[in-house]
Amino acid sequence: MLNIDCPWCGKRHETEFHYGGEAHIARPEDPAKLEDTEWAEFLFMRTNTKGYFAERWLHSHGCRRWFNVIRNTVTHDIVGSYKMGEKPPKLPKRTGDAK
Amino acid sequence: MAETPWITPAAAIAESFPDGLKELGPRVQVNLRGDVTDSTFVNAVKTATGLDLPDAPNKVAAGKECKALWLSPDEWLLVGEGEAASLVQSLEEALSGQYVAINDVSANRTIFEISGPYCHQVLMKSSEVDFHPRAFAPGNCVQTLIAKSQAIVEQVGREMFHIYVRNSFSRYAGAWLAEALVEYSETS
Amino acid sequence: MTQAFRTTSGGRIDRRKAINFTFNGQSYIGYEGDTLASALLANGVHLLGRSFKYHRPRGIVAAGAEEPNSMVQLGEGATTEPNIRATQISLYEGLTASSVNVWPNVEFDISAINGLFAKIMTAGFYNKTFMWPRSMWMKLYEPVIRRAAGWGKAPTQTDPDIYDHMHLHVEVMVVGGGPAGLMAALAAGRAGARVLLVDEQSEFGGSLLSKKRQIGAKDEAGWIADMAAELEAMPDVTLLSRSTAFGYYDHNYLCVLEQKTDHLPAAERKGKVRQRVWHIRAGQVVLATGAHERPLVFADNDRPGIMLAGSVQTYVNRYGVLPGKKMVLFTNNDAAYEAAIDLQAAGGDVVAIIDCRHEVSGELVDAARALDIEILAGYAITGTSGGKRVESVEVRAIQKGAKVYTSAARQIDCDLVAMSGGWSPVVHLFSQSQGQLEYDEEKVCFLPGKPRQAQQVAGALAGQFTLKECLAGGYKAGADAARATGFTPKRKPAAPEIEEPDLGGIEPFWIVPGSRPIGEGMAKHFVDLQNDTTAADIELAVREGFESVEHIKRYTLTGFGTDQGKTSNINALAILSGILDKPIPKVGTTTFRPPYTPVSYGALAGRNLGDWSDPVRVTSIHDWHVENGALFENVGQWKRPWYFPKAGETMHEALNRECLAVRNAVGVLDASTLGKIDIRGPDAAEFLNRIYTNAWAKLGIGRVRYGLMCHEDGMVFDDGTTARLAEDRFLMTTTTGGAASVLDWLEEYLQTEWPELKVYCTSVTEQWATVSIAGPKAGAVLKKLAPEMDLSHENFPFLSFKEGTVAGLKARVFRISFTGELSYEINVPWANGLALWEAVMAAGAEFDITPYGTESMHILRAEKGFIIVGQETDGTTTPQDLGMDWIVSKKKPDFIGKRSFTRSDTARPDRKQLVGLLTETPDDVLPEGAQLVFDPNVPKPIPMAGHVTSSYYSAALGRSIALALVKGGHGRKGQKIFAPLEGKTVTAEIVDPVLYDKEGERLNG
Repeated sequence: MLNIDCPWCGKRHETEFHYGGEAHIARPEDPAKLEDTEWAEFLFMRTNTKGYFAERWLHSHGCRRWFNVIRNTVTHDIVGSYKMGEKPPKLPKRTGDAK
Repeated sequence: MAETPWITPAAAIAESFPDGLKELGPRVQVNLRGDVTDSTFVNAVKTATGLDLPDAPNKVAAGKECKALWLSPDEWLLVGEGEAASLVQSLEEALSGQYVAINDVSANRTIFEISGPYCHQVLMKSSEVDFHPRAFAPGNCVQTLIAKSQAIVEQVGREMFHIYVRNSFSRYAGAWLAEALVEYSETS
Repeated sequence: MTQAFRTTSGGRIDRRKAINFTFNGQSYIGYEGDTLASALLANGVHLLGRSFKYHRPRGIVAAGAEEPNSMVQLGEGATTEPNIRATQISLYEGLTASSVNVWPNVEFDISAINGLFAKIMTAGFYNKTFMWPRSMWMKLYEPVIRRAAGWGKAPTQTDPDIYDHMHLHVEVMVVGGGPAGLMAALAAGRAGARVLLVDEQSEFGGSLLSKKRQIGAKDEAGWIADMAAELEAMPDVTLLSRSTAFGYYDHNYLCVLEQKTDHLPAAERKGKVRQRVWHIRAGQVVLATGAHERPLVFADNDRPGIMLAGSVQTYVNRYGVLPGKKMVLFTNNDAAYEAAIDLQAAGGDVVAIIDCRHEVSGELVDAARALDIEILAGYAITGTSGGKRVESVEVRAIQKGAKVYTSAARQIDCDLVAMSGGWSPVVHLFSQSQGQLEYDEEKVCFLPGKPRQAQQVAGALAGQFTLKECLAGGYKAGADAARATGFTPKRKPAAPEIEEPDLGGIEPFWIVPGSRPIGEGMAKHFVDLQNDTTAADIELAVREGFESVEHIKRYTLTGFGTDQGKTSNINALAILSGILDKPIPKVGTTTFRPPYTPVSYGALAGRNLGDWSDPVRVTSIHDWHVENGALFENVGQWKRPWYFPKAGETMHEALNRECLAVRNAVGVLDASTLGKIDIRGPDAAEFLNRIYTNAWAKLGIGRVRYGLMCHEDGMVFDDGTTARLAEDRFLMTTTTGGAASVLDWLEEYLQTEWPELKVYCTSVTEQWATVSIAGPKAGAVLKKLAPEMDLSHENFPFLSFKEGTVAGLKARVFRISFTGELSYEINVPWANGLALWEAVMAAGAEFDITPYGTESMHILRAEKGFIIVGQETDGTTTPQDLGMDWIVSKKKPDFIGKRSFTRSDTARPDRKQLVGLLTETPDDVLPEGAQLVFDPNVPKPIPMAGHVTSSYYSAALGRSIALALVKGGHGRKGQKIFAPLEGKTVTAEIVDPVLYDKEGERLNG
């Protein structure tokens, strides 16, 4: 049960949140101008990171804000949360690929 | 307009609630959204309601006729007695032309009051949020889950909480809270 | 003869309080403070059950959670529970229990014949033997073997007990209430932290409950009492005994099972919560989980009467029980000598100490010698005998450093063998928290390495095996934990004077060969008593090519089951290390998983049962529906009336009646469940333009429009009507089940993609109760309720709304239709819903107004070819697939989903497309979900052409109708299609989905 730091409400249990997948994937400005492969890249391709990963969460049962979290996908360590539009915090050097 | 009975799904079971739990009668509830960093907005709300909207998360600001519960960075629930229509109207007038949203949601949620020496235990059975006096106090509110129902929990006294539950969930949540109290009712 | 093995005095039992209990039908007496195991031992009962595979007689081995053998069926009837360890059952008046895995009874067990076939029942036996032929699996192997190998019986009746859950946040959680845990809780509590201390036993004290120690001015009991008293007096310290921390999850989230009434007689349990699962979020966790003693692996080490030395000590000191009167101790360490000394002091006779070390010396050894106990250093037990109880052991001298015998066998008669192979720290929770283990050569055990979470370790878990170390280590861990959570610990109290023998050293001795090589002859060297895994099984597994400890575990079953290898894991991997000739740390450990000890389903479910499995959402009119005989359908979490059968009516008849009422007169539907979202702001119209596939900018104020929403991949995900309340304000309706996800979707785009748009969304779903009236007489009903409202088609046209007063209630009326009939949706504040409904029923009485449910609604809309999201769509359906190109704007430069409509996959012509189906035989109602084929006569597998999405009997059309998604369906109208069903193939014609009132003339009544 993750303890997720909502940038507004503070730490709350995972049950109050919804997962929103990889962060920083902006919807293309003008989709009509994209080739099929470029559009498919936006639609389907994700990095599937092992280690620290920027991802989106929605505090769905709380303040209903979307925000970003840096989480280690191996250890579930959360390094920090930041609001939409803010810069991510510095990643720890260690990749955290625990066994 | 004719008086009509105020019937929520919880009303049918409220009579059998144990001591320490009751369903409150209707309150004025108005959902307000706007930009708290914009002084025009904040001042207009103050003019209309006398309230200084809380900009700190999960705080309640009390005014004369109503109070404001922080719901999100740009959203508050104004709660009071009297007529929702007049509160909506005075807000609409004061905020005319501004980028805001004002909604009468008086019928959207019902309010349960839990009180007495076991209210913290009831919350511990119903919620994952830390309501211990070290973490939560009168003047705090929080949006969270009560059992599996979305709710707003507001602490109104040292041993008194108001739990705002959407009406469709009110029978479920009311029954849950009542059951959570049974253990203590029988021993007291 | 009762309690013949009870000592004359001592122990933490209350000898004034006799307790009657029954085991395997026989009545016994024990004392308050006993466990079932200690009471049985007091009565001389060692044989408790049969082993898993070979059905060998088995007895009590340990005194706590690590007990691998003595699992019993506890209680009877609805509250019976299988496989509870006798060592963890507090004795209560009227307790009944019986052996498991025995048939017909424990004394004579027919499956013990398995022992004769032991040669072939080696590792992987089940996998190898019962796989083929496949057809025999369900018929023979599964039922027969399950019965023979089954442990205990699950109750067949509903569990009547009450369980619940509680959530607790603390700064410091301490797991384990032994000396280290008590000190940790004290340090953290004195520092002012909120503290939780949990311990699985009935009282705090841990290992001190089993030993005699002087701590300062107090004996062990006095010291425990003082500690508990001080902790209890702290308001922010929570103490939970009989509470097992069974799972350690991410971010210091732990689950604890508190057994609140399991120790009480049945009469005292009534109405009380039986078990509570505590969900803890802790700032810091102090693990002080202690250590489990390891058995020694020697030939036939599984006979009843062969026990762990420390457990013997526990039975003697804590329970006042002599597990035997003639004991042999077999050890590789000094500490175990204490068991011999204590048993002798309590009146037992220690006939020999077999120590596999050649040089033995030290305080405890001297103490044993002083008692005239014979010590055979450099000896080992090489065999045991006895049927249902050990009767003698065979010992031989061994050569130092090599496992070669240097003497002839000597028989020693005994009725109890205490064994000790050293101690294994209870690293289960530490491992669950992702901490890595490190092997300590000197202490011969795995110790916690660097923790992965905010955590301290103390006591025996941390390799602190002396009481002095435990007290100091515990205090330090508690103080460190408090400091890490922002508290300032008080100065450490002066260390008390502790009287404690020097616990001496240990030499590893992982496997003791028997008189013949391991695996030969009938003797068995058990490693995992619960799973009947032997050292020979591990050797065989290696010979067959398994090397990884995780593979060996699965192949030999060692470490499986409810036991999770508490006594066996380390022995197994040490033996493996010997076979592979790899150092123990290189072999590694298997993964420890929750739960630490079994947790009942009842406890896990808590109160989330029955009606509370999921919240039930009801409308303000719900009770009327119930009173009027509605049957209900679950839609999301909502209960919606399905249909309203009258007395004696079949479902078919009721639906026909409801549908015809709507088509011919007027029907009424509770539509309060639809999601409603207020959308407001200067960019609201632009926002809707981007969210919906159609255009919204020009929608007039007071008008309503239907819209479809797609995801970026172009697939439909919700639909509904949206009304323009003002230039900058709309009211959107969503599907009943989609309300929350649509609001989330809108917020997601506003917050993450288009923060520049000035739009606010507010859920008002339960602000408005919605009563929908539909049918040619709907206007007449509304006219009676809202006489001043202008209902003329010119002033209140289709797809518009009005505000006004209906039945004396402030209302908003929408003229929209999901049935194809003239229809009004009347919205009033939610708590007025019932008042409106009753007014509508009264006003409609003269037209025989008919309440209808979701099933009739589905039929009525299907007659019109209207889709239901989630029924005609499944996340792979585009608007074009649905034939709804008309709602997809060609002019808007962009909206969500648009770009995907031209992807090659979404644009291909042979996609599954929505069509109507008319069966050849009008009475044939196709099953929903039925697969469709173009040609049923081609060889199987027949290529699939699509499937039926909706299917009903239409009273208005006097025949069955169906909607289906069919490959290239739009171009196949008029063609035949087939549904191969069980026993018959139904032929249907592909037609347009709109089957009733194609011209839409009925919308105006």
